[in-house]
Formats: sequence, structure tokens, C-alpha cells
Amino acid sequence: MAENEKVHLTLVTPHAEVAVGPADQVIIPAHAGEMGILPGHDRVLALLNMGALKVINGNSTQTYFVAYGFAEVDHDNVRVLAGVCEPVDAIDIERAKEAQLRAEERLKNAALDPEIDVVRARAAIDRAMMRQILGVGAA
Amino acid sequence: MANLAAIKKRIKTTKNTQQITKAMKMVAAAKLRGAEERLRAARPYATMLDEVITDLYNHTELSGYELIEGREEVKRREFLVITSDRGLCGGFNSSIVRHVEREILARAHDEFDEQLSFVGRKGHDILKRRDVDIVEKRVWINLLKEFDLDLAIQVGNSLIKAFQDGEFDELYVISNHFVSAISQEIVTRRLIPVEVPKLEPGQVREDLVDYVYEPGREEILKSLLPLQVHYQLYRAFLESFAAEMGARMSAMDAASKNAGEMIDRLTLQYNRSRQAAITVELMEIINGAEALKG
Repeated sequence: MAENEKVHLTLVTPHAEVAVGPADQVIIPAHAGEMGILPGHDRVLALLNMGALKVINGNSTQTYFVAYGFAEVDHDNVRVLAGVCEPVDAIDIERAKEAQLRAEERLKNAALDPEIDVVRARAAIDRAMMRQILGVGAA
Repeated sequence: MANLAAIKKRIKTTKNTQQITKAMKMVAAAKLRGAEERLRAARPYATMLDEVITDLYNHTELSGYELIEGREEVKRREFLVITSDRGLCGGFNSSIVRHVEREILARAHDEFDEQLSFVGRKGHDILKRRDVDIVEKRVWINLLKEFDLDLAIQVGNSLIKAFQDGEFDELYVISNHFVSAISQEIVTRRLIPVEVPKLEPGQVREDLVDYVYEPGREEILKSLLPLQVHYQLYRAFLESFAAEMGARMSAMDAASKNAGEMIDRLTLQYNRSRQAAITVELMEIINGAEALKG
């Protein structure tokens, strides 16, 4: 790999363009595990797991929490479409904790209230916990 | 002679009305700005999703996926009409209802079995009053007051389920799209099966190798295609909401102007009447003085 070769990352959510630019390496939390993308990668279409997406440039690494989406890799281009995406250093841990408590409360009441969507409550708990783990790691 | 007190009262009520229409205009303008921002922010994602799906569709064998391939025999078509829940937004709702009447009701049951669904109270209410001969399947009211992607996902999932249950073979969304603050455009788009732009033969990149799918192709398509449905729906909601705010803003602007003109006219009338009353009183005094002299 030549020195100046980079992958070009586009990271978008339905609400914003989160990150666009070159990177030495992008690590994607793919369905079966982390997937490191270097320039010249094979074409891949991968579902995202909830987790950390890392953008490595030289010595610096920017980490994002991502969930619900997929990544398309085509040679040097990495396009990530995520339903949720947040830079980990911007995660508000208190809010994530509150979200977890709220979701747990919902889950507890699920037996009584048929309106409560158990799957969604579980997903919310997972999401809140993962955000806390990543957020604490970043702090 | 016009009653002075009555005119004064009318001026006052017109002023009150004008205040309300002015406030509504400001609120609509603020909401429009927010909606435009959301539309703009949503664009990169939409473009990328479209590109990936177009790529997939044109370079990969996709038979067996009803959600993109469609059904061989199309019998029942559903139209999801997006209107607003509240009025006072000019021709926003009536123009879409007119469109539905002309394009769908006029030729209903010719070739397909049509049915209607609604997001928004107004479209539903107007057509209900006209007593149309068409099946009404679903109505969502007060959905767009505050909506996010989650809501579009819920609605999208229920529509996908209805498709899988055989309630319809094709679903079209009819909605207002935002062009500018003063103009909207009625757009009909197929939502299910997912609409994919067909590439010209020259545009198909023959050299493209198929993706490595992670996990499998099946799982990816199973989540990718609904994603497109959710997303298109979200876009339609955003567009319609922005168009509604634009329409309300210009309607309320016109209403404020009309109220202003009316106030001017009434004020003129009021001053004239007052002057006339003074003149009459003066004449009476002069006449009385003249009579005493004589």
C-alpha cells in the first residue's frame, strides 16, 4: 500500500451527513464482527451491528456509535448508512442512563400493557447500554 | 347614516383576525424553516440509499423478492393520500383531493381494484363527504403533528405487512412536494414494490463484480428493502409537511393583507361617517341661529 492511499468515507444518517473525508482505515462493526477496511478492499455490502465505528487517520482515531444500517464498500469508497450515529465523545452518559431506566421500566410494564412493544424496549436498552460503554470509554 | 359604533366594532374584529392570521403566518414560517432544514439534511442519505439499491437491482439477480420485483399479476392498487390535519392552508388539501378525484376515482375499477388510505384528517374528511365509491383501508390522523423516522418506520412496517398479507399488490403515495414557500407540486410515487430507476444499457457497469454479502444476501435484502420503504415514506412526510407550512404561510400572508385592506376601507368609511355627522350637526346649529335672527 502506498503512503498516500486512503479510503474515502461517507457516513450519513437520515438526519445529517456525519462525516465525509479520507481515512487510513475504517473499522466497521459488521454483523459477524469488526471489519477493517483498507484501500483497495473488495466490494462488500454489510449489515451493521450496533457498536463502534472507528475512523483511523495516522495516530488519531475518531469513534462513532452506530446502529441500524449498512455499509457499502467499493474499492476505496466506504459508504455507511446508519439509522443512528453519534460521535462517542458527544455521548451524554447521564441521558443514556436515563434512557436505559425508561426502557427497563417499559419492559417491566409490558406484561400489563399490550401497547408496549417489547422488541423496541429491548432494543432501546441495548442501545442505551452500548452508548454508556462507548461514552465512558471516550471520557 | 352608517352607525359609527357598528363600524368601530367591525374594525376591531378585523384587527383581531389580522393578529391571528399574522401569528399563524409567523408560526408556519418558523416551522417551514425547520422542515426545509430537515429535508436538506435527509438528502445525502436518500441519494446513497437510492444508489445502492439501483446498483443492487441492476447488477444482481433479485428474483424472489416481491418487495422489489413486484407481483406478476397486479389486481389491487392502494393509494396513500397525504394531506394535513388542519385547514387554513389555502389550496393545499383541495388540490390533492381534486387530483385524486380526477386521476383515481374517475377511472376506479376499470382495470384494477383501487382502494384508498389516508395520512391526515382533511383529505379523508373531504372525500368522505363526497360519498365516493371506493374502499377505504387505513386512516392515520394527527400523525404529522410531530413525526420522526421512527413513526415512518411504524407506518411503513404496517404497510409492508398489509402487502405481504395480500391486501394490495401495489401501493402508491400521493402527496404534495415542497417546491418553494409559494408553490407545491402533487407527486405520485410507487412505494411498494420499491421503485428502482432502470439504467440505460450503457450505464450498466458490466465489469462490476457482485458484492461480498455480510451476513448473507438474503438477510441484507430483507432489511435493505424495508429500509427504502421506511425512508421513502419519511421523505414523503417531510415533503408534505414542508409544503403544508409553505401553503399555510402564503395563505395567512394573503389573509393578513386582505384584513389590512378591509381595515383601511372601514377606517375611511368611519371617518367619512363621522365627518358627515359633524356636518349635519353644524348645519343644524347654523340653521337654528339663522332662524333666530330672522
